[in-house]
Amino acid sequence: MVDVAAVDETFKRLQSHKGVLGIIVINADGIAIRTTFDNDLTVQYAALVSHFTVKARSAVKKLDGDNDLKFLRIRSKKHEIMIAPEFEKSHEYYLVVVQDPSKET
Amino acid sequence: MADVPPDFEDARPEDARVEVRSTWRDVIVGSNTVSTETRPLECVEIETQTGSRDNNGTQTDDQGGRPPSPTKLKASGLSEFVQKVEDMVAGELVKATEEAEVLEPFTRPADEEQEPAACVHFLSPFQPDDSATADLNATSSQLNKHKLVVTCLSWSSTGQTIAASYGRYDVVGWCTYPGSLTTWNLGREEVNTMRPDVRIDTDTCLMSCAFHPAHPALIAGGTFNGELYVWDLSQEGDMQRGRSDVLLDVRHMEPILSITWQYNLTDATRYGTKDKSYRLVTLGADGRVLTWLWHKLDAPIFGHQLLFPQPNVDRKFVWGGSCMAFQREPRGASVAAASGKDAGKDGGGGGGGISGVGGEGTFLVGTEGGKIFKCYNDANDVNTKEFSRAVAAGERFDLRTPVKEAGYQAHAGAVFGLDCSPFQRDLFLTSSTDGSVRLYSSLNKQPLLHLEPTSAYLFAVQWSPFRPLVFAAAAADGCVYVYDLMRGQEVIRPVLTLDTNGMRKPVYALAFNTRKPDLLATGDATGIQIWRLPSSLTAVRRGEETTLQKMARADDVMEMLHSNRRNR
Repeated sequence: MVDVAAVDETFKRLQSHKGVLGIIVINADGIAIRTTFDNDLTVQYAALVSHFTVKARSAVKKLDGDNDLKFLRIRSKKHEIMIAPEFEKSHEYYLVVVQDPSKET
Repeated sequence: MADVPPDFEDARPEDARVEVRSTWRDVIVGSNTVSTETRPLECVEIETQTGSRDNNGTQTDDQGGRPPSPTKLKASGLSEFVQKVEDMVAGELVKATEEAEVLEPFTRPADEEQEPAACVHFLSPFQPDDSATADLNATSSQLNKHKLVVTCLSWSSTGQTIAASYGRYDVVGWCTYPGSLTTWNLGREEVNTMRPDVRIDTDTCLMSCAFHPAHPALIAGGTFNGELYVWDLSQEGDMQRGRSDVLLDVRHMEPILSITWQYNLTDATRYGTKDKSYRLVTLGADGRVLTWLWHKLDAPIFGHQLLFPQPNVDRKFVWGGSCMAFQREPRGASVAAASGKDAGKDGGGGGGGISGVGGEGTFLVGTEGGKIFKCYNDANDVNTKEFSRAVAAGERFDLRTPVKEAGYQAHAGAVFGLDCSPFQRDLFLTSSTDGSVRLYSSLNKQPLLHLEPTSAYLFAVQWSPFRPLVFAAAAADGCVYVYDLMRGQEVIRPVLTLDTNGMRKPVYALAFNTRKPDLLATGDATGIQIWRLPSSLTAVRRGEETTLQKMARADDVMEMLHSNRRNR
């Protein structure tokens, strides 16, 4: 049984950081499991981010077989997308956080 | 080869015959005649027919229209995963904010250099007077016989169309010159700069115009004689939707210098449509502030008169207004806070924003004498009904004064430009013929900032709708001065100066585009110029709004700006 309360707690802690716009957790199939965004945006993020992360991981692994992707940060003009992946076969998840660092609280 | 004599000899064949084979005679072909025939075909006719019929149908079963149940995904190990990455992500979040702070000064061009603005269009319905290549075939309407100048500019609610009203400022007595309203749609690929898309001529000079904030084709115009028109540009043929009655007692008798569309909650609930939720408030040079329903222009629904005593004189008398602006509630401000805090004298501005508390609002008026009044337009249901009844009955009565506060330090000349900040309710800018631009807070009598860009008259001033600390002022020397208070200069000077015509002809009007951040329109005696502002003046900077809020509360604004610059 998934410990829902602990996950919620973590989400709340992460969201209290400065400028965080939202958090999504995506599974290996590219489906969002937990999210704080609305549905359309979540589906978009889930599809796009999972492809991107897999590509990034394969790039890192091809360059050096022992290496693996640990963290991914995409800085765009408007905000920053942070992806923390976990590639173990039994629980492959990506945690995506979208932040606008220059936003005043 | 040795010379061997040829060996000629006679020879005699046995049968004394010589045969030479023919080269051209071929063997003769022999021919034979044969004929063939096909055997006759056999044909048979047969009919078929279905004996018995049967009906059958298929259909998919609908599962009762249940929405697909959320997939029960395997989510084991989720909490462990989240806990594992949480620390790393939190660290990265903090790093990102730090990096953004440090890198921010490098992501924009340096403060010292300022890219210039480019003039993208020059629009004029008239031929230029002094052009050597004057078109002899120009129709008479294209010649500016009456030397009309641009009196007011307005962008439509979509930001695509610019409207300019033409009139004259130097009329003495009765106005015999015609005026016109011209609009151009800049969204088209081919913008004809010499011919406006719409041109409406009026009998007298048109002194002000204003587009409806929600309806892209409704525009109101005020003339020199005090008449108010409302036009609908989307209609074919006659575009006039309404015209104020010229024989009423309660009307403007002097030029209408400022028109504002005010959001009204009661109208919105009564009529329901967006265009009818706005009322028109007009200010005339006769000191009257009248409220109208734009679809029923025969009589105003409420009115005020700017009565205020001169110092040292007991009697109140009417001040002539020259410009007006309503206080605007900044976007996102909670309605509850506004109504709770300002239950006192301020009604909370209702300039088309989210806070439509009643819609009547606090507004500021600048006068020809240089004084600034803070007024309150209390046109609610009760007194508008009473007013309409009195007007319909033809009673004579005096208009009350809306002035609530008049202690602001006066300008030395007429105040022709006034604008309230769209980001901070209490701050407003004024510009006057004494050549100064002043920043006031409506809560203080002394101006917060006093700037003098030029010694010429200043005709208009406006805040930028996108950057809280940027504003522009139009002067009589043909230049528009743009200020950016975020730059933190030692002495506040204009960061950009736009020379509109190069001939030192006064610029009478300017308007920022509320939908497209980089467009600014200026109007003068030669026509309308559309400028594209550099991105440094349109992209919002970090911390700008807080600086503005601090400015509203600061005692010494210059000191505050300097310390802000030092801390950055």
